[in-house]
This record gives sequence, structure tokens and C-alpha cells, in this order.
Amino acid sequence: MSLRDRGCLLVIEEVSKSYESPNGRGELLAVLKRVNLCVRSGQLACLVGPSGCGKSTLLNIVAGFERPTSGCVLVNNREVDGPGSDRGVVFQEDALFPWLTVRENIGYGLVRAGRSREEIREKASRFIRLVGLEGFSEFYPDQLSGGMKQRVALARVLVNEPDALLMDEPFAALDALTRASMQNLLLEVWGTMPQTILFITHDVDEALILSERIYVMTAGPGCILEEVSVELPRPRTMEVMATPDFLAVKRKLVNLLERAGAGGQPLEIIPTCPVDGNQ
Amino acid sequence: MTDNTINFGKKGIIGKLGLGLILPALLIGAWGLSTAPGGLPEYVLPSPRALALTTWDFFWGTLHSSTYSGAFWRHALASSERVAVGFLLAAFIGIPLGLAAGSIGNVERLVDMSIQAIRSVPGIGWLPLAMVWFGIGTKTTVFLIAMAGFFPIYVNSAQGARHVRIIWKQAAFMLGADRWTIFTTVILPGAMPSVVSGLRVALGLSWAYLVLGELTGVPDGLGAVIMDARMLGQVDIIIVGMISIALLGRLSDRLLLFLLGRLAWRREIV
Repeated sequence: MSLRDRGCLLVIEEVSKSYESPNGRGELLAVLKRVNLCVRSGQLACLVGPSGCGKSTLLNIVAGFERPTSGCVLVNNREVDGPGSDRGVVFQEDALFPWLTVRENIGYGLVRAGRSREEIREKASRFIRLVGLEGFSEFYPDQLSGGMKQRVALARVLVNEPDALLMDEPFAALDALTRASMQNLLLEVWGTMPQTILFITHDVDEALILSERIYVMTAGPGCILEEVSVELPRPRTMEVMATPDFLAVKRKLVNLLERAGAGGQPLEIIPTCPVDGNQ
Repeated sequence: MTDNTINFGKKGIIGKLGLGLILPALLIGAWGLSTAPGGLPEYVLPSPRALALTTWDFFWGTLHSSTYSGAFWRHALASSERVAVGFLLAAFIGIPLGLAAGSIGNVERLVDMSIQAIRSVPGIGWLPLAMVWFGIGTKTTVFLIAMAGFFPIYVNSAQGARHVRIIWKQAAFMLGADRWTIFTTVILPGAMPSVVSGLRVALGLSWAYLVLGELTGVPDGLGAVIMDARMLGQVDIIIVGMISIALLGRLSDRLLLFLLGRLAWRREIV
């Protein structure tokens, strides 16, 4: 069990997933093939890959919304079997409850956990402040902008103090300016309360701004093509992004992604994954 | 209620209603002309003035001219009671069953086919059977109302539950909710807009089936008033009865929306 020894809080071990093909002939469609991945405690790891490579399927498996066909996922040494509040998910789409206010959305998990009224009030207020939404606590999601909704989405999982945070392209639907400020917010929050985060994106820049470890996925069937360490200073400002070091890592990632099938090459020239995963 | 129509420029209440008032004014004008001396006789269509007087008397008993003077309240109360009981029966069975069928596959497979089959019998078709089972009167009326109201409530609740976004359920699961709390905190509020439209349709139907039930012969109620007036040849009372039912129908719809707005279904204890 090599990955478990590396001090990983989140371990994805030999996970494969296939669906029955919709043609009804009982053929199996492989979506994920022997994916191995590890996120250390307090680490922010990114998973990049071309669209359709199975990134979201992998995240759904970690979240417990789907079951792997084979392999297993461990979070904090417990095998995942079904969704739970130990793994908070921030979705790409707006997934707030539109019939609840900002405060009530954030308090939802605390109510489920049976916390006292005072504790819920106090914590909800604290996390509203943490994501910079003072004054909006009694607003309904429909009255908020896309960026503000994602702030609420972030707060409503952080408030439950999950072991791991799973983020599925959470800023992809935002405009460039809002996306940049959300990335800063995430890093700020991550700086004050170190969280173990698995962040999915198809945006190389985003991965480089956020993360020190980037997993590159390839499509058809999805597997980890390479694991890239990013040893660049933080904060990753515009100046850092202009350094040769940054550009070198970026070039490497872009090349990998192109090889991974982003250019829509025919299946046979998509590189096959190393037999023993990413070891 | 929000106003979804695009409004160019601001207008006063008369300005907004102006166009809408033209048709009623024309109709009342034509009605007045046709009932003028030499026109239609009183026993076919009373004049607007006579009808206004009768309506006023029916409500407030100012004329003391007939058994109908000031009788509105007694009959309205009797009818409202029947509508309330029948409608609440329909809602208390229809909402849970519909939500369960819309969100749990096995419940849907169990009940949906049968309910859809029964639904294809028109509501009026139940009248003879209801009269055999419950006799003539209040029970039959309540049964017909509950029967008629159940189907739109069930169908809309099921539809609403079916279309609750999967991502809301996933979000609730990952925030620590179990299946039962997801039912009460996600499916119920998520399906609520659809449930509300089902309830409104059902309440409208309730008044229609109230009249049908009361026509079979009950001592009080607005349907009974209409039926008696027909036998006595009092067209003005027939029309006043119709107006009263329309009024109560509209009023009960507003009341329903008001009560649903006050309900705590959208609140979390935070």
C-alpha cells in the first residue's frame, strides 16, 4: 500500500470506473482506468485534464456520489462509501438552496450535525465574514452574483470543518476578474485554516496559481499521465507568473495536456498511462 | 406576486385598468339596454339595477323582502366548510403521496399506474356512486371535492419532486443530511412551487365540485341556493349565487397564497 505510507490524507488507489454503454448491447465504456493519486494533509493539489477525461467522475467518486467499479478511496484512513460531511464539495454549478438565505445555507450542515442555536449563529456569522459577505446574510441566492454564490458555497462546506475539500471547477463559470479574486480568497482562507484540497480545473494558469502539486489526466479512459511539482514562491503574483521558472512549468503542463488529447487527436496516439500508475 | 409584464412608462391605477374596463362597461351597457322596458322580461334576465339591489340584500338583508335577505353568510359558511374539509383531505393525502411517488422509484411504480387509471374517470362520473355510498348531501359533496382536488395535487407534487435538482440532493448529502431530512429540507421546499400550483388548481376545482354536490339537495350552501332559486324561478338569486361563488373562489385563492407565504417551509432554524 505504497500511497498510504506517504502521509496522504486523501488516497485514490487503483480506481477504475466503467459504465454500461448506452447502445444497450451490454458493452462497457471505460471512463477511469487505474487512477492513483494522493493529497497530503494540508496540501492543495490540482487535477488538470482535457474536458471529458473523467475528472468530474473521479471527484464524484471521492465525494461518494458514485462508486468505483474497482479500487478504493481513503480519506483520513477511512474508506469512502457514500457522501458525508467529512468531504465538502464545491460544485461548478450553483448548488445553493434557493429557498434559504445566505445564513441558512451556511448553517444547513451545522443544523444537520445537531449543533446548538448559539453555536450555529456564531459560526455562520464568522464564516460569512471569512468569505467577505458581511451585510448579505439575509439575502437569498437569487439576489447574489455568481462570485458571491461561490463564496457562500465555499463557506457552507468550510463551516463543517471537513477533512478534505473537493472543488470541481468552482470558478470556471465566473468572469476573469471575479475568478482571480476568488482564487485569492481561496488562498487566503487556505492560509488561515490549512485544508486538504483537491481542486479540479482545466485551466493551467489556475492550477499554477493555486497549487504545488498538479496531476495531469488524460482521456479515453482517464488516468493520471503525470504528477508535476510546482516549486514556485508564493504569492504567485503577476511578477512570478512572468519568471522563466513559471513559464517553463507552464510549457511543460501545456505540452502534457496537448499530448493528453486536448487537441482532439485520434485515440490511438493518446499516450497510455504508466503501468504502475504514478509511482 | 411579481409583475412580469413589461411596463412602458408609469400610469395610475385607472391608466393600468383602463383598457381592461372597456369590455365590462360595454357588457353592462348592453345588459342594461336589453332589460329596459320592452326588452327581456325580469324572469329571464333582471336589470343591472335590480340585480345590484338583490345582491346587496342577499349580503346585508336591507330589503327584508325574501328568505334570501341577508342569507349570504349562512350559506357561504356552509359551503366554505365543505370546501375546506374536502380540499384539506385532498391536500393531506395528495401532497405526501405525490412527493413520495416523485422522489422514490418504488413508490411511483407501486401507485402511479393505478392513480393515473382512476384519474381518467371524469369527476362528475363519481356522482352516482357517491350518492349510493354517502346518500344525498354533505358527505357526497365533501367526497366529490376531495376526489376532484386530489389528482391535480398529486400530479403536481409528483412532478415537482421529480424535477428537484439532483445537485441539491448531492449538496445536502455532503453537508450531512440523511434520506429523511433530504425529504423534508430539500424535496419539499424544492417541489413547493409546483405543489402550490397543484393546490391552487385543486382549490378552483373544489368550488366547481361544491356546486355539483350541493345541487343534489342539501338544505344550505350556495349551490343549494342556486338550485332552489331555479325551482322558484328567481333568476336574480341564481346570478347572485354565481357571483357569490366566484367571489369566494377568488377570496380563498388569495387566502391560500397568503397562508402558504406565511408557512415555515422555507425557513431553517438558524
